[in-house]
Amino acid sequence: MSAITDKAAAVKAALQDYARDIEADLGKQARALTANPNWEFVQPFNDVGPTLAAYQADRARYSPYPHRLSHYQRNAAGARDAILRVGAPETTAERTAYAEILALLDSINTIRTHPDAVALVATF
Amino acid sequence: MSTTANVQRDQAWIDAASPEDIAAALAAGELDTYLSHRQGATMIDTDRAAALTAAVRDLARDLQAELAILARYRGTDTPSTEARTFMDPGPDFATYERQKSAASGSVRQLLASYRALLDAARNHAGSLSSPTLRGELLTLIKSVASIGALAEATALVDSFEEA
Repeated sequence: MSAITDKAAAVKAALQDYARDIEADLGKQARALTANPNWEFVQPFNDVGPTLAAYQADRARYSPYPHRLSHYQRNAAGARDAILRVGAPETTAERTAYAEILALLDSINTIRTHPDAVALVATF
Repeated sequence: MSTTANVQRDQAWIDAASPEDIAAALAAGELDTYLSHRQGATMIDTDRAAALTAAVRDLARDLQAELAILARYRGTDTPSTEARTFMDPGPDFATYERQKSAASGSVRQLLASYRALLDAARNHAGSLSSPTLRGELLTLIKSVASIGALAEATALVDSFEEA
């Protein structure tokens, strides 16, 4: 173990939690009944209409708010920087741990929809 | 009570009638309109109950998602509603885990917000005329209202997927 592999273990756990946050956020967006929910407040329980189909159609009308996803993905790069601040990976173990973080970052950056996020989180 | 040809009976008549009166009215076709209306009401009730059940389940999923976010949150205040940024986890895994467990977040406040929403769901449930459908929905609402921790929310949401 080295300072870099220790750091990589912490970053990996934090990055996995970060992906779980993205999944939770996209899940909320997928269930929202407005295009741009007010994130300051818990969403109100609105009338659902006459049928399940009407409710589901209402929910499906709004796609996830893309700005939030790109914000998450842009900020995920902080994980790579957190390791490099400790030092450049040199040993095989350090390079392997660092490569694992980069692969996880790539996976996070490929998320486009809530099911993508669910699938990624299920691999943890 | 006697029955009269071509007269359609209503709920008030049924409430006052004996079983024999009702049997005679059925035989005379006097309850056709009433029964047709009741059946229509039941169908509408079923559709609406399905929509309300889906919405209350989605509310429980939202609550579970937010409790999970709080459980992962490293801070004692309320997490920002902005999309989160990646926070440095400290030098090692143990430090990161300690940061998470040291933060209590604002679980109580979050639960109170959701319980307030359930009042609206209860009001909608009250509009269902079928006691069975109303009872099932109120039971679900009660289950969501009783959530006090992430594990309870997760167990309830998992039960939806199994159903």
